[in-house]
Amino acid sequence: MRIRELKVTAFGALHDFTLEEGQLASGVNVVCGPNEAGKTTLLSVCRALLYGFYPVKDFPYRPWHRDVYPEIEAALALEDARSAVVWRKLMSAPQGTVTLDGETYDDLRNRDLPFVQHLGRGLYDALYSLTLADMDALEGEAWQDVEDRLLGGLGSDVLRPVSQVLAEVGKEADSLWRSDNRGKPKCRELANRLSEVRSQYKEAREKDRQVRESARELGDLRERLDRIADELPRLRAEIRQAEQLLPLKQRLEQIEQWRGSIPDEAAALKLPDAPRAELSRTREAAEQQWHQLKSLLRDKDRLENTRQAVTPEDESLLARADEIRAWMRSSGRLQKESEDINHLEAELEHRRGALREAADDMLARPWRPEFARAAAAVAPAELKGRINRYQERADEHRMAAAQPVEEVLTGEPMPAWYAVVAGLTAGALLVVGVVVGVSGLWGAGIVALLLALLLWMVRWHQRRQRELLQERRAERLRQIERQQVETAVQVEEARQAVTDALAGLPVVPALLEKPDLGLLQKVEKLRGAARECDSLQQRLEQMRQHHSEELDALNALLQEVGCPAGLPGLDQAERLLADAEERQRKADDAAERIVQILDEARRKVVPELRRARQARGDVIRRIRAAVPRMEPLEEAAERAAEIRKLADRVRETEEELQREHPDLEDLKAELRRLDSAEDETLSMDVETVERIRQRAEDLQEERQQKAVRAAELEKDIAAVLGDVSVAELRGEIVRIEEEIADAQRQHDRLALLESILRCADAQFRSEHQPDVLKRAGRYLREITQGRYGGLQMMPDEDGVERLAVILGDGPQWRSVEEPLSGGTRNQIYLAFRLAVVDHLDEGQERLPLFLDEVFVNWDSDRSGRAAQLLAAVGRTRQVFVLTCHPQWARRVREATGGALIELTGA
Amino acid sequence: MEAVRLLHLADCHLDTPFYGREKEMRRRLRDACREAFRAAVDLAIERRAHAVLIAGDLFDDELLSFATERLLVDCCGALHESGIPLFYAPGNHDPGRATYRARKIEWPPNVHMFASSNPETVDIRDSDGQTVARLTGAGHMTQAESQNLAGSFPAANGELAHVGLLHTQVTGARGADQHDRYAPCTEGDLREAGYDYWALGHVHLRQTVSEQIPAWYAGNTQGRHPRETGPKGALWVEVEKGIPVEPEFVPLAPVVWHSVEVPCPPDGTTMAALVPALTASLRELVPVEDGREHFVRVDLTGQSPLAGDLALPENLEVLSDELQDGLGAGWLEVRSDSVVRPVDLDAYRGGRTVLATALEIIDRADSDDALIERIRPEELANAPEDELAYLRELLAGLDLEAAARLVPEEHR
Repeated sequence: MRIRELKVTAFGALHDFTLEEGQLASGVNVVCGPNEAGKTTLLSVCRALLYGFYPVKDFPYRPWHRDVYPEIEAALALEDARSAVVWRKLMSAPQGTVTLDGETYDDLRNRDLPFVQHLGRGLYDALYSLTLADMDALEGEAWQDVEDRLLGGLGSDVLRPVSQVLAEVGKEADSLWRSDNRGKPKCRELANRLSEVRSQYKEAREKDRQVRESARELGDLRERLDRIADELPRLRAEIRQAEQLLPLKQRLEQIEQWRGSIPDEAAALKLPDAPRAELSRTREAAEQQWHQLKSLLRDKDRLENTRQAVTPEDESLLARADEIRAWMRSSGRLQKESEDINHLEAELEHRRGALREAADDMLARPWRPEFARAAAAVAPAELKGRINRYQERADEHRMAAAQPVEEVLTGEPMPAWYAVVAGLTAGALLVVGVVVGVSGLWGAGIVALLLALLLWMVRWHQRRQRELLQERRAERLRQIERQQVETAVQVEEARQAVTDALAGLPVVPALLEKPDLGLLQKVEKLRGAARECDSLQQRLEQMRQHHSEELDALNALLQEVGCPAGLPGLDQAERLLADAEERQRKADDAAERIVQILDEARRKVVPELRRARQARGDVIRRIRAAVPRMEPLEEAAERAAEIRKLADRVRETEEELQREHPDLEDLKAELRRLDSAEDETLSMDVETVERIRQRAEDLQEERQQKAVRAAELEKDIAAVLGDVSVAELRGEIVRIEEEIADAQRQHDRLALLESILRCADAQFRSEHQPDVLKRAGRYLREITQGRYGGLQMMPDEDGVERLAVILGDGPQWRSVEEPLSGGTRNQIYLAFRLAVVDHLDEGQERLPLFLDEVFVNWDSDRSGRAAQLLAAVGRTRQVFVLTCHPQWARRVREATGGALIELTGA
Repeated sequence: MEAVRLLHLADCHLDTPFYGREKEMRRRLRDACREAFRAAVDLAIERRAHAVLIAGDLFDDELLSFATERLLVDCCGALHESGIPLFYAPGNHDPGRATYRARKIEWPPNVHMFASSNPETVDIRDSDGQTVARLTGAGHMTQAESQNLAGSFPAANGELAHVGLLHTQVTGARGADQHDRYAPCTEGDLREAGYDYWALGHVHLRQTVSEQIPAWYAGNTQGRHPRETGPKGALWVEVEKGIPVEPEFVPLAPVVWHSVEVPCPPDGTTMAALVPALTASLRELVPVEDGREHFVRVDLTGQSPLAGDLALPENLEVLSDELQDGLGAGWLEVRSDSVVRPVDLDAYRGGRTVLATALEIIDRADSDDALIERIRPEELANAPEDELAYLRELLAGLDLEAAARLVPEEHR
């Protein structure tokens, strides 16, 4: 790729700077200008052209004027003969376009140009601009870095030198684990700790074993203490027993001596207190009971006759006694029922008489039973309503007949003579007045005339009124007559309704002529009498029925017990029953008394008799048992009394011992055991007791010792329980082992990484170094005119491969380090740099190379050859040589045939 | 017939090697195991269990301390006083041969240990002495029982519910691959016995073996390390003849483990900024407000500009403490092994750089045995049986590590 035209609108110190086509060579371009003329800026312009503005924020080449933005444009010629135009501008955000073969891409923004992406911006920065400062820095160990950078990373400062990374990784891995004994790797420290913890683990296990033994010992101790606790009280009891047993034994021996005088102790103890008196008493008691029994048996025979006096007829009566008594209780009721029936029959007859009277009072015929239904069918309310209607109609009829004519002709009209008199008077006065000519007279005549006219008019009016009244009255009389006819018809209809209401009853016609409430009362009376008769009749029938049934039942019962029917038979049955019951009662009493007698005999007399006889027999037997083979009985009884006294003494002494020794039987058993024991220690003597006492004391002492030991063991066990457990230590062991495994794994991982990086470095070098070294050797040979024939990697004393320079055509070589001169090393570096650059973009777009004052310190020959070398390089890529020395600029231009670009800095 | 009430425990691992860097933590875990067992005993008494079943690994044989043994005997004694029998089928950690600890313990009379690998059938009785169920169990006699014990269990018969008790590894059970294959059996072995319930132990993950078989692993009673996460406890089972069981899980463990992976927050550019962001993430992942203690392991993942800081143990310790306080956890550990500095690997692949070559080697090595042989380090701290597999395992994440080391800070 070559820059054909360049236009810088604004970029740092450059403003409106343009390099037209023809001003720029496709090979070497020598840019010459004083300091701050913009040479380095031109390098930045080129870099921005290819890769954009970096850093966007605080871009260092932003013009000072606020309204002016960095803006550049260039026309490029590509390796494949295509042309491209690039425009970039940095406003608030970077903008950019690229036009390739006439097609414009306006989204370039701040991205790399598409045809420079084979080489990163960092790599370009690092390798494609070589400055004097880079050359000056090539002193001492810096060469190692250069070698790493150029050969290991092909000059990329994007990556750290592999050797540095390898050293770090190796160190880290060694800090974790080492196979040798050097250093203190983590695994070794962990192993030491593991060893410690394992020791603690062993100790803890041993402690656990010991504590278990202690626990076992403690268990044994407790068991022993329990046994001692059991034995000690026993021994103490034995001592106490021994102290008690000796006096006891003596008293028991006394008892045995007394027993020797008693033929049979058990029999003796069974003797009565006074055998002879007891013998006499029991005999008298037996005789008394015998006499009493005989008397009772005689009474029983007498009562047996009374018990058998009840006959079968009595039994029959007694069997129905409850029924007979019930009938007896009912006899009054039966009698009353009979009387009630008679009374009802009389009452019924009386009612029937009243009914007939009522019937006679309103019926045209005598009372017959079928009239009862008709009377019952009459509805009194309805009848009353119809009678009321009849009376209303009749009243209306009467009122119609008696209706007055209201318009009464009152007064006569005024007589006519009043007016005549007045007229005549007026005529008279007028005549007199005219005649006399007295005005007062004819004035009075006029007044009298007027009065006469007035009176005449009044009379006319009165007569007219009277005529009108007479007409209205005649009309009213006609109307009343019509009403009388209508009401007469209604009265007849109402009467017929009353007659209909009494249908079935032959009512006297006179009563129906003018029916009134009297008729209603008669009907009510008739109905009531009929109803009462009917009710009485029904009640009488029921009573008769009930009475008859009861008499039948009574008669059946009387027949069974052999008595006549009816109430008289019941009286007889009552008497017979009373007799039977009396006999039965006596028989029952006799039976009860017999039972009592037998019971008394069986329960009292006979047992008493038996007891008395047994008591006597018992006394005799006891005397015989206590005093065998002694006759007569009285003497034996005397001897028995003596034996009894001895036996009592034995018993009292034993009871006394019993009270004193509640466990007497145990003591006796103990005494027997001791007497029969073969072991001398058990014999109850003072020595034995002393031995037992000594044994108790020994046990007491042992118990104290064992208790102390048990307390110690408990304390030990409690102390161990609080210690770190075996499991906890095992956990720590496991944890440390895990940590060791982790550290080992981490070591192996780092070792693997180290190995991979080493392998990658070797592979990278093997892939890239030969070409780079070959090219660099060729460039160096040209620069040094064959003094140095080439470059190659040679192992140093540690076996590490280092860059070496071959003297002439070899085979001698020198390491690239002192005492090789600084200038020579600079030339090797340049050769190296050019070779790397060639290698990096070989087969790709070759990017412009910038060399900033790198030849300043070279001698004339070598700088001249370097210029010729640049001419060769310029045939494959565009080269910009930046210098502030015009002479050197011209020399290079002449040597390379390139273009000279002069920057004035204005 | 009344349902038989059983408390199914397994893998209590009293006195097992306890996880933890600090002594206090190991002691806490030891106490937690004991507390869980005590709680199980209290539960059985409170709910008037007909029996307590322990399906092996009650303790770790040689590690059982005297103190824990005494606690164990005391707890069994408490059950005895309440009239509750305890049936115990030893497992590989507490085998039942006479030379092992399980046989040396002076158990109370209510403890019945199946001290033979041959199945034994016993009655489970109620407080009136009436038999309410039959129980068949067998124990491991050694620490590496290889026989299929379940295969020799007799088939269920009779009117009573029949229960099996065994420490076994059922093929195909979830999490079985994390345990040694002792007394192995198949679902078919369990199904053929026709039991109404199988109380199993060995696999620490609580589960039913199959939806078709009433066989359950109770899981362990207390998680012992960060891989045994979640609530742990016992199964309360009420078994009736022929009726499917629905065990009720009763949490007993006072300590609950959590193991979570948390991506480094992209905006966490300082350690101070990292704490609130991580605390917020952890609050979503770890519920801690249930009255129990929560032990949390946090594995940070992904890329972070703080990778260098996070690699320092002292920084991790401070971060752990702050997150522990922020979350209210009983213990919290942060691991940052997987955290790398931000780097775009694709930008470096295919270039003319050593890194590109290294990445290409790492990519190829995963499937190229010869290449792995070539890049094998001269010395390995570990000597695994399958070295190639081990090296492949180590390759994981090395690409990021290589890039992080080769690319300088300012170019990332």
